[in-house]
Amino acid sequence: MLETRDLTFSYGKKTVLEKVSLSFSPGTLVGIIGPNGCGKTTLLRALVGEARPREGACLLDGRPLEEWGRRALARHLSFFPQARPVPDMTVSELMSCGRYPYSAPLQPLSPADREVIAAALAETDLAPLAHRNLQTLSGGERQRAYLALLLAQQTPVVLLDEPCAHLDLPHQLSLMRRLQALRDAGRCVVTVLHELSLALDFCDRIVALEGGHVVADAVPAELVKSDTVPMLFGVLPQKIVTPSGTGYLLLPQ
Amino acid sequence: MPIFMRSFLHKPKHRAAVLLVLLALAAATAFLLALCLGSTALDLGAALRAWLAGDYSVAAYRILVYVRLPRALGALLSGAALAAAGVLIQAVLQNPMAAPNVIGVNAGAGFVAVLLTALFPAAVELLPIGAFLGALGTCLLIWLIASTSGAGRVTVTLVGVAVGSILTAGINAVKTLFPDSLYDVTAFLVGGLSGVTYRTLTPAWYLILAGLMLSLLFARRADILSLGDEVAAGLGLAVRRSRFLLLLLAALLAGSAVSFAGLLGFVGLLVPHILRRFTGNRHRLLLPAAALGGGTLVLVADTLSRVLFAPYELPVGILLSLLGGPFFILLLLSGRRLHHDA
Repeated sequence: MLETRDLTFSYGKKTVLEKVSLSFSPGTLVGIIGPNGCGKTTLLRALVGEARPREGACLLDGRPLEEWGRRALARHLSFFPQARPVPDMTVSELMSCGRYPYSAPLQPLSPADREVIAAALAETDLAPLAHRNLQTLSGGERQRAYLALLLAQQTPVVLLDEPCAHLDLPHQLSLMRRLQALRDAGRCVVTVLHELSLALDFCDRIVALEGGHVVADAVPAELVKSDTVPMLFGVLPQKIVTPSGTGYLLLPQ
Repeated sequence: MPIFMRSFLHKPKHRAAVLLVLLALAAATAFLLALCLGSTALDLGAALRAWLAGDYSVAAYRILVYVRLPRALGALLSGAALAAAGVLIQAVLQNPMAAPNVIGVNAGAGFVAVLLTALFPAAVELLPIGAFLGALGTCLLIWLIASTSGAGRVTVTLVGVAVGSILTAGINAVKTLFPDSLYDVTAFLVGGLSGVTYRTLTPAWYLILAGLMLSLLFARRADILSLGDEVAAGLGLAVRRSRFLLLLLAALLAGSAVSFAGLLGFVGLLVPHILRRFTGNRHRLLLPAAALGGGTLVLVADTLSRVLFAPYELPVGILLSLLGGPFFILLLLSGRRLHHDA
């Protein structure tokens, strides 16, 4: 389980997060939402152990992140950052990087590693593209390749920073379904989302941040009843029930 | 191409093996040619017979063992070291345009080497260590600037270019202040192998071999660095430490090469650039390929420099730049056209 206790973070004099205490358990898909500059990305960076908090702590299975070794941490927690360069390598070479936390120096991939990679490629429908260079893939395919990299890392906790940015709607939906599949497999999935409707439709729980504070932490059905969403985003969510499913319509105010 | 060959080459592993075998053959051929060709035609058979018979007075034997062999070894080693250093620096700075001569690593090695020669003309043994320290100091300076300022990769490379020109000015200053003790400093500055003996090679060659082996150990780290800092850290890589280690190796390789071959340009930029088209960013393949390719290039260039205007000799650095420059421009332009077509 991943949790933060009174997490406080600042860049220079500007406090970006103030006394944020949250916990994330296995088998849930949590969306973190909030307007630009609310501290979403900083929270995620702290959860990965990349940003050291000024006060408070992030704990994984009860142990502060600083006490985990780099590679041990990478076997428990994987991260999908917003900025993903496009290196000159094939999809399967990228996948083999995902096994780095498990590798010993100079050791080639083990048969077990290859099985994990093949499964990750199959799960993201990338098997036919395994030998393609990343630079020749479309944006959606590349996004999937990085998702496959997360799968190859086989971590119980998966953190994502705006995974849907720059994707068209069908790709956004399929990515969110894949995150739900990860949750169904018992992983703890936490994702920063820019798209409010995706968060409402797909997440089990939504954490809303504003000005470095948690202003709401609820299941979507509860969140839409409060006045948080209109306050933060200037839209009023309306639940729509149709024979093919339910969803939310966002009415501008 | 026959079908069986095409299906054989379809596997990346086979392609990699074929590439390395071809490059090794090229290096071996270039090495043999470097031994046989020169201002005097050399009968390799006579030299070998004299060696087996123990008759060390035969001229062919003496030329082979005391002139051509150390020189060919020097060419092979310096080319291999500079090309591998280029690959490492490009991996650290995440910029294919970075290379030891571009970001001032060679100039740093050269500055200390020239300074040492001016101050302690007799201490030839100190040169490789001095050159290594100069290369290392330059690398560390650029690394420090990069990691404390948070500047982007293009900025860091440009900082390296600026550091390089400061150091080149330093070399010229030493040259002006000590004109007498540096009688062949020009040869050093353009890069050349005419002065190579076993004595000048001695501390450097095992540093280069060690550096090449160690760089293979760190090849995986170089691969992962190309995914960007955030992804690399997420995979459990110690990003700063890896950068530092790779730079240390690059300094070791470039500094050792500069200590006996002078400021050879272009090898570290040109060779990785060509070979990356075949290997991509897989450093476990790119590093040995670049080492073999760099060795071959300098061997060929040095042989040409001895043969073209024999008995006069063109410093190999001039030839490398004269041939490498235009070729590199062609390569860049053709590469760009390909991208536009795609």
